[in-house]
Amino acid sequence: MRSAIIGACGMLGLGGATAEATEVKTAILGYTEPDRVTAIEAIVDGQHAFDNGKIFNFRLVYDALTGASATGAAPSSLAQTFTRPSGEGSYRVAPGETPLDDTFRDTRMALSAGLTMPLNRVTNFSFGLYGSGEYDYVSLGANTALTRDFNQKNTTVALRGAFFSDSISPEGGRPVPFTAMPDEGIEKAQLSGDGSKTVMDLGVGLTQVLNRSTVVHLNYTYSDVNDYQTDPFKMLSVVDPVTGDPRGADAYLYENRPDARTKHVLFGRVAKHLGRDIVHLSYRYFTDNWGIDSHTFDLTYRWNFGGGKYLKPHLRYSDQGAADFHRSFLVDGEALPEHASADYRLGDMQALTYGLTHGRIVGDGHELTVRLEYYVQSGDSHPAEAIGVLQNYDLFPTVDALIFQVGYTFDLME
Amino acid sequence: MNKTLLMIAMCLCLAISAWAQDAADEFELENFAGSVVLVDFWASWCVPCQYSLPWLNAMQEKYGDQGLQVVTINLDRKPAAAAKMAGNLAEGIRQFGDPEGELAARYELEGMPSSYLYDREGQLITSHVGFLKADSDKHEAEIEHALEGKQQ
Amino acid sequence: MTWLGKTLRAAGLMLLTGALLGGATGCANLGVKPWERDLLAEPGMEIDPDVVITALDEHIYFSKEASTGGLGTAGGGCGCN
Repeated sequence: MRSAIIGACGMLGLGGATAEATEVKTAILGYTEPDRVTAIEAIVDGQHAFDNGKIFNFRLVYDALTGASATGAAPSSLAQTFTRPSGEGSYRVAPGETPLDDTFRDTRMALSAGLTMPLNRVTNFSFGLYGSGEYDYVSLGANTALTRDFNQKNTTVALRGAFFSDSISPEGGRPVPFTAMPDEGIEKAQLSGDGSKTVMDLGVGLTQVLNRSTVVHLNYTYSDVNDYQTDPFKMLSVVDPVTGDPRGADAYLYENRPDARTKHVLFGRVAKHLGRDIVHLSYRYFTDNWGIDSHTFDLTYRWNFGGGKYLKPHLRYSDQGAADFHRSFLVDGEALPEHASADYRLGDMQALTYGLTHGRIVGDGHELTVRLEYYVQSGDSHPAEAIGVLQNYDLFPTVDALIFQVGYTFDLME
Repeated sequence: MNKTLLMIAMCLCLAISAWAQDAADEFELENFAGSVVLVDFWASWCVPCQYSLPWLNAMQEKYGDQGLQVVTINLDRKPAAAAKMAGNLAEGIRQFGDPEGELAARYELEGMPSSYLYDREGQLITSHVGFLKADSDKHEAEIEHALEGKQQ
Repeated sequence: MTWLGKTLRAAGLMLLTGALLGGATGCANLGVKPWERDLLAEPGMEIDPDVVITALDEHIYFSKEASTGGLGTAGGGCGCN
């Protein structure tokens, strides 16, 4: 008698769509680090609900960035000269300065699309495809998910899987790990062909309505990354064990990362309605077999003024422990470790974000949002192992960035 | 001056209460005996209800003469929240407000919206959870079938 | 990892364990009736209320930090800067 129909009010946004309707979210974001990277990102995210309950979604992301990026080489009391990745040309870094490659520029285009289809009133199946391209990087992927509601939609269990296949063909080729940066005009020792890597993600999620005003979400993700994960542009200084300045010859070695990385991520989030305002609190624990672990907290408070107007302060704090093979530099005369990278992103660090989003309804139910955020990242500027002159320099300069975003969301109803 | 304001306020109140719904405890299926009754539970915050209400309007207007009685039961806690949508309901639809969810609990609703179709004797013919526009023709056929069925 | 990190780690793990235990022990007793979802249906009450901000931020953090992902499915890319 009771016919099973999808499209009964779900607890997550999508569950409500039951007739032809399209929602489009757009945003443009500017990102700027004083003295380093400047980036612009644009995104269009659309969802079309068919009147049979299927939902098609697509996302287009464009980003362009230019600026200077840390190479991993350590500062020195001497002026340093580095060959550009292409092998043609070089740049000089003044004494005491953190070596930055200032010719960094890239443009990325990413497109993804997927379809979610109800199998019955409480079960949804989805699959999607992903592709992105940069000047020297291509990533192709596919993902699928199965979600099932229990207990009058108060409990939702999700199973997810994704696979990506990436390839990299950097300008100047992929250097043989731990070989020395050659002088200008001399070809570096290269690995043959393009670098490739695969990523497999498996996830399980649980969403639970606790009461009329509270929802919790828990998520576990296992990720297995294989093959080439070394950054072909990053290097390490080999310094004199006494002075701490780069050794006389072959002073800069290209980095070397392990080929296999297994990550585990636990993520929990609570959404709580306080009567007028809404608060979201989340925590993420990350650990991998490279020895990196991190704890990330995220808090937003949506302060509703009525009429669709709100202010949303945001606070994020992340504390990351370094990869086992992270080194600020290598020491001349010591045996080479199996793997090493001086990439500051693999180091010990604390990152703090604070921001404010304002949203308001304009026109016929369209939403306009404006967001300003400040991001600051700091690490161990004076590690205990610093030698000689390196004790005088900041080996983890603070990185800060300003983020500005304008977003616009609109519906195309039947 | 104050009187004018009072008048305006009263007019506004009247305008809002023009869609006034009957209390939940006044809802008795027997009162509609002889009609084919379509009972629909809805709320202003329920997204599919935005699509089911216009369809209910169309059904009442099309089949009211043949003996269809659409009955809506609104489940908004604050009835004012439902005013705009309820105000657009067709004439002839009987509206009830159930802010405490008493009727919803009695019907043991599985989802929103939920609808129940009764024949002229008050026997349940079918019920639906949720609303998919793609299925509205099927639901209309069920109503037609019920209307053609047993006559008074 | 700093002392602050260790404290936060302990707090975070306790939060997560509590949530897991709370979730596992009484799922069937938790929740609301289908007609009691007025607050849960409000804009901003989704588990991820702004997928666009999440996507953009994840991309930024992906290129600035080594520990990313886990919020859903991530995209590819090298983040080489």
